[in-house]
Amino acid sequence: MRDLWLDLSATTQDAILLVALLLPGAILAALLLRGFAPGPLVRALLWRFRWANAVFALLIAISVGSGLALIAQERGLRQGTAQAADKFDMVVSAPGSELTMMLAAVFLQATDAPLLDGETYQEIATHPRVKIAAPLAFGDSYERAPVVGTIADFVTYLSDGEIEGRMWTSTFEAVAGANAPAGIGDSFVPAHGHGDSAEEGAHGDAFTVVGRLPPTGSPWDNAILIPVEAVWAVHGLADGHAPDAESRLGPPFDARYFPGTPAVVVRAESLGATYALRSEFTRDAETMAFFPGAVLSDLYRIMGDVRQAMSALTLVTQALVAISVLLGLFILSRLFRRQLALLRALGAPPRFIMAVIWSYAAALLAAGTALGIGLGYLTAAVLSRVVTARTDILVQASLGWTEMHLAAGFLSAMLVLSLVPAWSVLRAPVLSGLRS
Amino acid sequence: MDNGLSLSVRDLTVAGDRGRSILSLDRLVLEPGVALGVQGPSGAGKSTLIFALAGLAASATGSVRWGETDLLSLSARRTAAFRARNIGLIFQDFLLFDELGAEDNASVQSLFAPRGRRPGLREQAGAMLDRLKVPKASRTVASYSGGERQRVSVARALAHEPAIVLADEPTASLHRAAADALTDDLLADVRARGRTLIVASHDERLLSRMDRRLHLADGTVREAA
Repeated sequence: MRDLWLDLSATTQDAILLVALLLPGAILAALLLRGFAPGPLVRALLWRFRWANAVFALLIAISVGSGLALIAQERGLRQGTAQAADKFDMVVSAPGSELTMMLAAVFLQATDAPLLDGETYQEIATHPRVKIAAPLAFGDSYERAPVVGTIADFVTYLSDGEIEGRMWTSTFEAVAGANAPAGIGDSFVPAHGHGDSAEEGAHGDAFTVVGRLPPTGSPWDNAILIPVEAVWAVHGLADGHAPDAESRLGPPFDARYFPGTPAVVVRAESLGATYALRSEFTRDAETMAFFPGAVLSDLYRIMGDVRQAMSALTLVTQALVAISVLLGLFILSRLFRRQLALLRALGAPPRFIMAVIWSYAAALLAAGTALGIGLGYLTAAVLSRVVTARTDILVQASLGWTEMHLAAGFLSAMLVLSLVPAWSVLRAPVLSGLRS
Repeated sequence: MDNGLSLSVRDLTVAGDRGRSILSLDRLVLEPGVALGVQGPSGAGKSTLIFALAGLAASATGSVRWGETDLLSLSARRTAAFRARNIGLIFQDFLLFDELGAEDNASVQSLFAPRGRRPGLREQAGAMLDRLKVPKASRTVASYSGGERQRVSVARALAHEPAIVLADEPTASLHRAAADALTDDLLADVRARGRTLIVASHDERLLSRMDRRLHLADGTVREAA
């Protein structure tokens, strides 16, 4: 049986689980409604107390929607960060915090990091199993967008070779990220530093944007990339090349004129080579080599506990909502106590009375849950936009099977619990109901 | 035509909320097809008697025998089934579903009747509304006059052709002309079909047209003149 289950596709498994979660409600409906036609009465009750019902359904929707959006958002954030780090196979930097260096190199978060010297860079760049060794140079910005120095090969790799316009061919040309505040043909002068403390006009040289990257879903979309030589030059440093090769852009660099880099993004010739290179460049007190994906993975593991806490909180919230819904149903069923007493006086069997109350509750719960799914979808979409705008990490949170299972589980549990108010109506004396 | 059921009540007592006896009836015997009026001051227990005869008073003890069936000895489910089949109830304030039309209200029992009986019940409800001259408009009964609403209520009580009709102050919410017209129509139907009718009322014009009258006062019951 287990093998049969494992042989099924993930989609089939999810679909079966969804049906299984909805099954208790469906079975209840079949058992309660068999042979009866309570539809007109349920519609009448829904219409009679339409405003109370609408508020009730809306409260259910908000509760379900916020729970679903929260879970979807957490998943979207994980996927977004993983996608942002996708192009960064390995980073080599001076020993320190892998997390800090990953945030600096992949997510372009400003940091003061010690530099790797020219010999070290040379060793990495000339390693036979290295395809690209891109030095990164941070520290400048333009209109709050980071200006990053690197090499053309890395820019081409980052864009999968699909640059709009062209790659830089001279020191003071730039390629802008998809969302950067400068377009092709624009000129800009980088400020020294970032944010409010950035010094405008500290560097006098103007750059011209000659190309634009396609969207990558990472903070690099907001960055402006320039030749690493230009970063060094505007800071009054050697430009990485010997005086007789000063007009050269990109590798090879001359170790004697290499001012240093906080991080080198490495692309190896194969996956096996990446592991070998990490081992080779992990040296005490010299270099630290790490996989951003692995650092993120560790982060997710820590966040996993947070996620469990979030899931537990969501469940607690749903349980509280369930209690509120039950109390609401008790109150609502008292509102039409007289109509129900009339039906009992006319000889309606107890199962029919239960069917009316339960169908009424089911209609509100189903409407609230369906509305909640829509609301959750919208909330997740809005939150994704906000997070993307604030972090430049492309977060595409959307409702998936997990959220559908949660909604179906909530609905099914509530449909079962709705029997309690339905049953309690039968315990009330008919006479007092008729005279109420 | 004699479709009614006989009634035999013995030692019927109904207790109120705190166990206080609110109705006590040692003996009442009614032939099938008889129309009985129950009169008495407010609070004498007229409505309680009507509900007890319908098996709706949970605290009732004794015996209420309709034909061969002792209603008080049945389970709640069987009592409900007996009511659905044999009793038509009419209330002072109509007790209609305001959001439904006249036909839906009159045929409300079809919603829990066996599937095979549903079309017949709806048909009978429609015919009953025609007989009582109630407009079967598509609008809801909320817009009907008091007289029309009570006629819908009567149609609901008679649509399933019950052997017994129990009415609690059926004319109390109507003006005189509407009350008289309703009395005429109700009695015409009951007598034509031989149903047993018991009416609790203050309406002397209605009571005067009953075959027998019962007077309830101070916990005692006597046959009225």
